[in-house]
Amino acid sequence: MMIKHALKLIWTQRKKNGWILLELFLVFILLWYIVDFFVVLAGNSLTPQGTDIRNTYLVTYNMKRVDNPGYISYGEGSEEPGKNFLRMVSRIRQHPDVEAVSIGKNDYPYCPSSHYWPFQRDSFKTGCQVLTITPEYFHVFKVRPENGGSPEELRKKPFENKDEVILTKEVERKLFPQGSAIGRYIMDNDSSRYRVVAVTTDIKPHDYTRSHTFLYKPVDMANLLKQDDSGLWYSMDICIRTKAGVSARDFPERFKKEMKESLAIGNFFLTDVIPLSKIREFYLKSYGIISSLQYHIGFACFFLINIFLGVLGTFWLRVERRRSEIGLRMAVGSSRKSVLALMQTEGFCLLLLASIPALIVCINLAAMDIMPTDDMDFTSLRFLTDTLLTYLLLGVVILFSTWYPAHRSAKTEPAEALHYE
Amino acid sequence: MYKQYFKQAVQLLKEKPFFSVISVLGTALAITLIMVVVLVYQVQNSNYEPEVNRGRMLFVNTLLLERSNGSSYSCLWAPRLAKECFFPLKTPEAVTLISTYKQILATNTDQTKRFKCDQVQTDEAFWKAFRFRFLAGKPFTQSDVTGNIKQAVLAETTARTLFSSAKEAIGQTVVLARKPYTVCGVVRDVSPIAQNAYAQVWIPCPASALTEVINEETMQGLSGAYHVMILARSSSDFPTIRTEINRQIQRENAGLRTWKINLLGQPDTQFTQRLRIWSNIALDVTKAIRPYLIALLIILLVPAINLSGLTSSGMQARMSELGIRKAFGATRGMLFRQVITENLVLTLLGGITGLGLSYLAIYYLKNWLFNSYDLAYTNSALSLESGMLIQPLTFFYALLLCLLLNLLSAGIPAWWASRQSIVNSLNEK
Repeated sequence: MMIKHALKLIWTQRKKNGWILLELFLVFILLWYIVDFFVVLAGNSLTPQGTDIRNTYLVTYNMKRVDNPGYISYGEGSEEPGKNFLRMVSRIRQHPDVEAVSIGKNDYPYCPSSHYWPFQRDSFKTGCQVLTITPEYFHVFKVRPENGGSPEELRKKPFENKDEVILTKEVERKLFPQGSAIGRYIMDNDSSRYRVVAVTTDIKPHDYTRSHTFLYKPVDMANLLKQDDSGLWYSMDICIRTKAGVSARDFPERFKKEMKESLAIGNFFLTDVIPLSKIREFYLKSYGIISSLQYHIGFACFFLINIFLGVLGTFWLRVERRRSEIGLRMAVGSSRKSVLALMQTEGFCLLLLASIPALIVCINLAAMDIMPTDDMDFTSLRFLTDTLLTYLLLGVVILFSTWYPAHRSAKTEPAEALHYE
Repeated sequence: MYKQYFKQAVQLLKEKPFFSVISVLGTALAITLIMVVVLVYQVQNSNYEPEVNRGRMLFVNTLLLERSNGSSYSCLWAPRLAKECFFPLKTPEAVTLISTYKQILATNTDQTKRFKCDQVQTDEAFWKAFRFRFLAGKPFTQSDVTGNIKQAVLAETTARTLFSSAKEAIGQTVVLARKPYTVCGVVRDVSPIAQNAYAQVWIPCPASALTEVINEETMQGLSGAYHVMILARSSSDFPTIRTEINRQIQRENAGLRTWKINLLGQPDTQFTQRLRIWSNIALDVTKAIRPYLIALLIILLVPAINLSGLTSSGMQARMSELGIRKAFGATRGMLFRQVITENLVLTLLGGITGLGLSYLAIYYLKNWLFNSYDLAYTNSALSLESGMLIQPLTFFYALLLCLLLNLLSAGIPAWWASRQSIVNSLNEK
């Protein structure tokens, strides 16, 4: 009944309502677009990452240069640099707080650099981010096989020969849409063949996007031993996982103090122990994800404040002019509360009216592939969540912005209001 | 006549304080946002110490090496390759190589004072391309670079921390990443926002890097950690420099066996280099600017509609007054001007508030606004200096914006109001 009344009011004053309807229409669409960004972010952060970086650290080291005191010059082709590197790794493994150590070629979660290679199987093609690692990597970062088993299962797979690789589920979907990839072969651009020995669960490069195609290759130990100091230093990284219960606060400093001497081997020496969480912070900052989030929040607030001011101002002026009408209502017995309720209903009706053409535009945006799908497919669930949240936000703003004018007008005495002319 | 409108406008303000406050707030909000964008643009693109030549500089930051089998390798320049490609250029005034900053440990000789700071390796031309304020000493020279003489220039904070004052630092030995250097100059601190020139310690690029052998398997001599920055005599030389660079690259490519250099549309101007995000895809400037332009349009449009609505609602109440004016001979044009001028007072108030708020916003939000991929790791905090923010054009832009917003928000209601017939206006309640 009140709705009918409100709609009638809106119709009789349609000319004056034009502006606020236009603004609601525009802001609905813009807000919907921004809400979508947050829905994607939140939706993605709920799906599992695939890797666990808690209690993991990157152990960084440096090497003495030719002009440093104590520099040891190994002959060309010497295996000592490689052996020194492996000695460092095994000493790290022996530390009482260390549970697992893995080495890789600049390959760990949130690493700033990445290597992409194209792969194919028959007619199916995809690009993969390639990580060259040792099997302990799966233990350090708790990567699980696709059937939900433990990381230990992956560690036990044959993963030594150059042609043995492990894929993530996303790669299997792309290259083997019909069946399992295990035991089968894929090729790279140079026509080298690789045998798939295992498939892991989906892995995401960071929390806020979809799962990506990752491929794991074993470190070539024979090649490692042939490298010189710089070759090793430029490419090899060391990651560790500490045992459960080791406090994250003092571990880096303690480890550095305790291991400083034993990790000075050959020309290598320990420099730092960085928790992966810090590296993740840098990664998110440098990919602009944090600032993107802040921009979106900023714009959302901007639109909501504008709507707030717009609705507030419009209803305020309307109240000033309808004083006599309100006075009449109250004289005939309508309570103050119902005056407020009528205003709010009017506000919501305006929102609903403006949202119908706005939703048509939104549907078109989705249909025309304008909505970003890099991080999440555009499903009907996504559309529904966007729409509901937008209604909610605008509804709350209208609730608040109609409250004050209604409150003020309802405060006037009926006789006074009737007198106002 | 305008004085009268002005007086009337102030009167209106007093009569309807709440309505005026909302109008001013709405305007201020829009102006704050747009001025923030303008100020950020200014900080990123206009000239201030030490980057006083941005208008006539070109940048080649990255390098894409492509192979015939389709694979590619994107990286920064190694000094040897940069030397081959850019040093022979005849048109520019100077060509300089600058490495990305790297955090190192700087200490004095007895290790009593330590300072973790950002170090950059460069050459003599660097000091020509940028104007630093030397508090003591002088920059290193070309002979220092070629002679591998280990001279270093320190930023003021670095010098003060290690040697207690800028003057005292000159001639002293500073140990950078376990290697000894002699301090030849101390400069005023540079904010990381001046991304091209920023560092806390500058040392010469090692001479051996300029002459190392190019190895296309290990990428030695090809891939490194350097950016190339070119100072032209004037920006009108840019097309000539571009042609020269392309010719030089072609010549260099002819000499390489496996890899071919692709500049992806570089050299960039200061403006376009800020837009480039991916190092392995060519930059489409129009596409890159489009989201910013759309955002600006929306920031202007939404408050304009908001304010239009408010103005036109406010107008209803004054229809009778306007009707009387018309009856007494006011023309449509006069009425139009009156409404616009009255609204202008509100807009200007909003504009001044907005401009003030935008400076506050820039100051408090600087870490968010000026952070980028390159600045994620700097050692010193981002600092804003007055030279970056106060430029002659800022206030002009703000005023222009106010006028634009005023026109947008009052134009239609004013036009509509001035066209109402006298009888309707007089009857309007």
